[in-house]
Amino acid sequence: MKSIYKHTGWILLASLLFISCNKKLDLAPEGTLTEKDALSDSANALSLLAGVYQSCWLASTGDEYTLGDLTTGVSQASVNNYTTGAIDARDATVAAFWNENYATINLANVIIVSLPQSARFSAGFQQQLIAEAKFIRAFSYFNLLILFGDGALQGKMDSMGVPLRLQPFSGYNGSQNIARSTNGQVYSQILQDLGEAIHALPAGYSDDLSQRTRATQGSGRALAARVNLYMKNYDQCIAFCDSVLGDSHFQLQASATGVFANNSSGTKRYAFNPEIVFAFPTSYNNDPTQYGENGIYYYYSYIWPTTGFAATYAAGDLRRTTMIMPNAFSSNLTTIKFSDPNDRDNLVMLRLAEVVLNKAEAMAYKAGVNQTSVDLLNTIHQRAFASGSAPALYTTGDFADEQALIDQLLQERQWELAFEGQDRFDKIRSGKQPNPTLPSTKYALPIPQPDIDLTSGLIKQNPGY
Amino acid sequence: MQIVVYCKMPFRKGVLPAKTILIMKLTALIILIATLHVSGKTFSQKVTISGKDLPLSRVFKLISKQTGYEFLYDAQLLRSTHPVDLDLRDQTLTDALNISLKNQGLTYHIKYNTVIIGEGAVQAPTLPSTVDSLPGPIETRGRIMNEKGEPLAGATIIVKGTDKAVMTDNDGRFVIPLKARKAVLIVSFIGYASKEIIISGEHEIPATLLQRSVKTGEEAVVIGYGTIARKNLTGSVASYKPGNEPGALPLSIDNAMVGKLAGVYVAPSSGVPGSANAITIRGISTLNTVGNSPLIVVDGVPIYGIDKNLNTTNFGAGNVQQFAFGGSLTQSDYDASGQLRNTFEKNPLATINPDDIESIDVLKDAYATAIYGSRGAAGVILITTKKGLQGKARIDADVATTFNRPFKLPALMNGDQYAGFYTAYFHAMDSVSAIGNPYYFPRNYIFPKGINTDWLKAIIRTGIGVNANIAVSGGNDRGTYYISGGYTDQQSYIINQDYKRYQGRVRFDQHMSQQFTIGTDINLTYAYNNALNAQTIYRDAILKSPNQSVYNPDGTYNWGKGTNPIGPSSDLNPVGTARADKNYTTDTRVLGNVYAEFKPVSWLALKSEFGVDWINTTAYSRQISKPQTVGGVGNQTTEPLRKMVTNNTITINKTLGGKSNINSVIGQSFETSDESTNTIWGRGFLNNNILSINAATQKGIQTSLEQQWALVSFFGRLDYQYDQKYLAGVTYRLDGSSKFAANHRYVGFPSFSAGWVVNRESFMKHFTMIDELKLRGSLGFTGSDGGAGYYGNQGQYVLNVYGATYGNLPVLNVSQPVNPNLLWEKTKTYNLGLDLSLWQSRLGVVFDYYNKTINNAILPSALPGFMGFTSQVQNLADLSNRGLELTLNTQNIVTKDLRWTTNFTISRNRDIILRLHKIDQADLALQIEQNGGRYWLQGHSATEFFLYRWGGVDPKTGNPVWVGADGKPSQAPFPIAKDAQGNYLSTEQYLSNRVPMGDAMPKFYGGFGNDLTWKGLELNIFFSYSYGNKMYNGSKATLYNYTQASYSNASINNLSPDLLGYWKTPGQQTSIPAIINASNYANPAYGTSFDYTLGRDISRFLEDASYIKLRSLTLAYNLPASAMRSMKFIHNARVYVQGDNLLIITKYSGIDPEVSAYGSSALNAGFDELTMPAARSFTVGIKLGM
Repeated sequence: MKSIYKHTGWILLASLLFISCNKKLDLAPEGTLTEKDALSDSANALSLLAGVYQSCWLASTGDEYTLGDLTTGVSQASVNNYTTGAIDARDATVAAFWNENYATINLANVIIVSLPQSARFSAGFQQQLIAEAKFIRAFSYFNLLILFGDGALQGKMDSMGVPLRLQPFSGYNGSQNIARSTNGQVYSQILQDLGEAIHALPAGYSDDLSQRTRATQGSGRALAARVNLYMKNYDQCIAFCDSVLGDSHFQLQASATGVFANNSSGTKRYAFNPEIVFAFPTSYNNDPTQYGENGIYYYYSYIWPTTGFAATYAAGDLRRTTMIMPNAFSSNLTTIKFSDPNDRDNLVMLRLAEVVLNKAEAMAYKAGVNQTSVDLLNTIHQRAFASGSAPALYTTGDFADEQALIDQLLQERQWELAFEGQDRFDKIRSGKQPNPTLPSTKYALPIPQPDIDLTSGLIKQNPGY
Repeated sequence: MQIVVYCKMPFRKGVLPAKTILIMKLTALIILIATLHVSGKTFSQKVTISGKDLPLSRVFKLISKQTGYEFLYDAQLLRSTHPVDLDLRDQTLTDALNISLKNQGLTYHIKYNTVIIGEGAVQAPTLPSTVDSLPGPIETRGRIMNEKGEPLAGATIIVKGTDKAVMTDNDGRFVIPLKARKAVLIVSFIGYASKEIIISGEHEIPATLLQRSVKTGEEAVVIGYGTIARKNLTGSVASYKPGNEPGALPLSIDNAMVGKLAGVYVAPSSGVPGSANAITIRGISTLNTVGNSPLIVVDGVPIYGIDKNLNTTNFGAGNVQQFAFGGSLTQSDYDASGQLRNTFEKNPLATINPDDIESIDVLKDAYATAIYGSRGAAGVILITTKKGLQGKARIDADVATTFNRPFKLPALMNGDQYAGFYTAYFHAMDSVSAIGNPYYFPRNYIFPKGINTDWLKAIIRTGIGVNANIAVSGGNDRGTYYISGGYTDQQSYIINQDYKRYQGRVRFDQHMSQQFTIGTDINLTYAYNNALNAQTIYRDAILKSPNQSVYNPDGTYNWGKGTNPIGPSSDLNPVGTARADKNYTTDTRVLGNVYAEFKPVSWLALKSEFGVDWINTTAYSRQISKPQTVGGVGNQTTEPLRKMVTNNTITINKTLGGKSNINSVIGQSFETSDESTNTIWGRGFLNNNILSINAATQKGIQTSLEQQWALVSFFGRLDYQYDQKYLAGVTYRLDGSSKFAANHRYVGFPSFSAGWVVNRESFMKHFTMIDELKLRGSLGFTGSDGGAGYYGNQGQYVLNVYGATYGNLPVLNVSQPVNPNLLWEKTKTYNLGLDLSLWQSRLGVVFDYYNKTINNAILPSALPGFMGFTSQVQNLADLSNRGLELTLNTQNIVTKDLRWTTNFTISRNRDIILRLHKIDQADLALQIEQNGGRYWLQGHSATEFFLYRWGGVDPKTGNPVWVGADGKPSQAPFPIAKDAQGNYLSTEQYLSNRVPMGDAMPKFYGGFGNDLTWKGLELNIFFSYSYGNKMYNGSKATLYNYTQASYSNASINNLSPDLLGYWKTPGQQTSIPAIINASNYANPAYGTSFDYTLGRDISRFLEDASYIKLRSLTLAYNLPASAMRSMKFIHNARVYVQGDNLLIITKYSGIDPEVSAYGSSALNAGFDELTMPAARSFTVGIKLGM
């Protein structure tokens, strides 16, 4: 009997040790947060959202941004495979466009889906964070769609878009594989996200930095305007444009030169002006490493405005005379829009001039040659010249037909939004070939091969590859 | 005094509940009190026993109980004894023994507090009877030497039949007082056969020579948490004693182990002092690049061993990466420079002084390793350091000087050849590219001739090294001590790149009472490695343009492209880097333990030990101000690593009845590790002389990371032995790791073994030539966390490591995606072994066959990008390793003056990936390869080379010929080849042309050593060899690479002179293609250039790296005893000359077939990427015993 007690004692002691040692294995990670922790507290959740914005910025910089001008002869770089479309499905840079946008989407999904389960703060702030995440998700899906969607810019709503993933990552074993949704389905999701976002987003923020760099009702509408224009939904486009143009948070600069400052003296932070609807605050992002750069190297002349394009501006156009200039490092031209020596110019994604041109174009498609479109065209065109040397106003009589007006609007758009990554998509959506060497089969980029392989072909390649 | 028990740790308060801590403290107190109580008890030296028919074992027990003396005997010995009738009252121990053992055919020695019962005895009791009747004591002097005539210090001389014993001094001399004129002395010394000397009144007896013991199996083998006599071993353990090396030991002990242990593959990675080696025990056991390194345990402390991540210093940070514009992945160059240029992987064993190591035991099969459970899968290396021996203080000192040079250098173009070649290349490019390409601007580059700089000559010197050690040791029956100090200064053969190490060690073992022993063992090391840049400098010297001078006309370093029209935009000048840049690490390491052992009875020992491995590393790197990095860049990393280990064991070594014996240990271990890294960087320094990062104009924190893990373990082993013929064992370990989520945290690892000592069977009596014949077998399980991350598998977010914000908002980034299903890797090993010893150990054979299967190997697996992550570790693979190991030891000649012994090992291992991903293999293999891994396919080895077959150069066109898997040649590289319809081949189609072309791991490998002694002279020759392994000669590929010229910052590196023979005219037979051909310039319209034939996926540069290396040759002379006599303090002296890496026989066209560009990673073995080869060195040294 005694020995039983003795043994029990030992067993108890041993099990006690076992339990206490087990606890020693629950180590608290230093400096890392589990997803639950990250979402429960409002400050952490806001930082997580900042991570989604940062991820979105990362996905939008570099080649993905410059591609739009590089492929249409507005600018040029030493490598021109984007221009000719000679891109392999294994191209690491193209895969990065895909992966980075989906990484952003996954993070947005974490906030949209998981935040309500873990958050322990006010429902109103939760709704705002979710709305911001939906704006980013829409932004990223739109990036993906115009880059990879087969005919997404040409109204082929039933062709292959991109896989639509709306749940956060929770492990992978193959059962999560999904095929590409159609362009129409992805567009619908984008508009649905934007609609829900606009509903819950603030009209403005108290500080100007947040106002320009976080989602607002205005930025949601400006993006929705562009999406609808690309979808050729002109009425919706016009409606969204009107509400942005009526939004007191935004104001067109009087002169084209007021939109972008020359940053080549390299001061650290560049303030925004009221024309900016949505931009990434690269100059404010406190990242000392090279990862804090935009990767858009006009300043170092790794990419440069072509002389051919510069010659298209009318004499006296300030957008040529003051905003395109000689490069310090080469015989090439460079642009004021990316003039910071540290490559940390803010990255403008949506601004009012585009909204004006969007409306003008949508009106032209809707109503042919019309006075509103011509007035809007003049608004943008006139401010590009010094007072006193402005050319005569355009009149409806200047345009023989709807197409002539649209062509002039697209030309103005190219001049105004040059180097802002838009031209390729404007060309393709309006039925123009971006450049003579790019076959129409290569308008969409190739789907990265790993996604095709890992889904055993469930995800299909674009027809041109 | 503090006794550490169980898992109580003196740090990190607040984790355990207060109650638990209290209970643990109480437990400690109780044990302490019990200990003091027992140790306070005194023993009587008198023996009182009365009884009839007492078995001897009973008598021994009674005596032991009364006197505290322990009895040590072979149970078999007692079988033929008879019970005794005793009536002893207050008899002395010796009398009691003498009476009990009378006519039993047994004798005894008393050593310290142990009575050793031996065979073949004498009528002991007759001696005492005459003691009193003889005149007073006389002194007898003698001297004990080994068969070489070297004095043996610490040999024991016992007067037979008494407990009188003395030891020899360092000169081998002894003086023993004898009460009787006639006596028999028994002389014994570990490792030597005992000898009896009959004395009949002499005062001085002639020198006695002991022969080295030929009986095998008596030596102790260190196994996990204990030791065992080799004859009783059922697992597979290879042992190595550094002290047997004839000459100087290398900087780190693993370099001396190459080829000496069967089944242990040591691949020195490079010639940089202190750089890592790859150690693989029985093949690839996991597909994780850092998981194939064995666990290293020093004196019971599992140290920060060969973990590539922890040992790698990255000094490239703070540099702004060069801009790279995207484009088609045409140049399949998995460029070693990016990964390797700015990192240095240290060898963790370099901070342990090889001269302090007594023995190394490598646990290979699962029976041996399962006691280390979750970390035993890749094998275990147990290092035991030296301890003091009883006897007079002994001083050992040795000094050696080493001279080293590279034994061969790569052939390079001179300046004029270089200039001519590149001028011709750009001329050809201009003429081809301009056709039909409006984007192409002709370069019209002309590279100037006239300067011919031999950059290698400018950076190479004769490295001189000094190694000095001194050790003082000694002790008495109360305890022993060993104190040593060492100094090593090893210069590499690259200028200004040195390694220095200062080392000290203290070991004390003290018997507090007959039951209670405490001890400590502390190693202190300070290592200063200024040679981190040696590899980079070596590489740069090979690649730097030879038509440029070292200095500019104004005396400054010529960093840039100089007078060449283009060149790298980074600042490259190997002489400048070597002389002006700073790059060093300092390591301070405290490795040691304290222990307390309590033996309440002779067969039971309770031991608690607390060990630490604390490493504090500081790495500093600075590039001085250069044209492209004005103000320079620098960074400084501090990396404190703290490991603490508590082991508590209960060891039982008991004879049950007459024939059974058990040897068992149960125990518990708790280990924690805390690893942190802090890196600060700076750019734009005010001047080159102020080193502080604080002096930079731009600076920041790059890394600030702390991570921890903990492992709780419970283990046990039971070895059973019956009649010394039948052996059986079982072990079990339960490990709980913090690295897994709570649901998969604990895992248990059992193992079983059996042995049969055939030669002890009666039917073997007639085979007298067989000393030992043992068959053994085992089956066991071990595991690995496969390099799984820290803190389980939960999804985690971390504040941006660079402190980046979005606007003004702090940013959280994902640090790891959630991974709910990750499991432990499990390894199952069968082992069959044979130990054979013939003709009094003239021939010794150890043979092993094993089959090791690894299930659920963890490896990073690609995810489709649309999931939001592109990679995650998963349990996706199964592997198998099968192999044979054979060790032969022969004593070819054994005479008084001449002795010749040979050692030979040969090992074979074949690993196969049994299961891999369920998804498309070839694509995934390609992706893993592109991420810096290997191209893995099911059914093949993990280190197999899958390559496109190179078919030489088509004499008609000058184009490289690619040979498909079907044998059909193609003039276009498969990745850009088109089919008959003009479409590019699909990925599956072109990858199918990659075929297995050999393995980076050898088919077999080993070593062959001969030791020849003639009187005082000793000649030792050791060869290591490897057969059937392939090496990718990336050095050659890099020196063939002239096409990186599309940008103004292209690396216009120096080239191999082979290229001068490039194809120029149709019909020309050459192995070098046309300067521009279908594989290196497929589409000039892209404005880019590339060379498919230089990727690491074509067989052009794959070579057979089989080799035989004369690894060391040592000639030593032991000064004769006669010479010693004249020197008062010196007892033995040995002078030697030694040459290392004197000769290599190989077909490999590179310099050293043994290098590995990827350091300790066995998985990435087989790449020579301008890796700095081992030096050829000559050493002279002297060893003294005082």
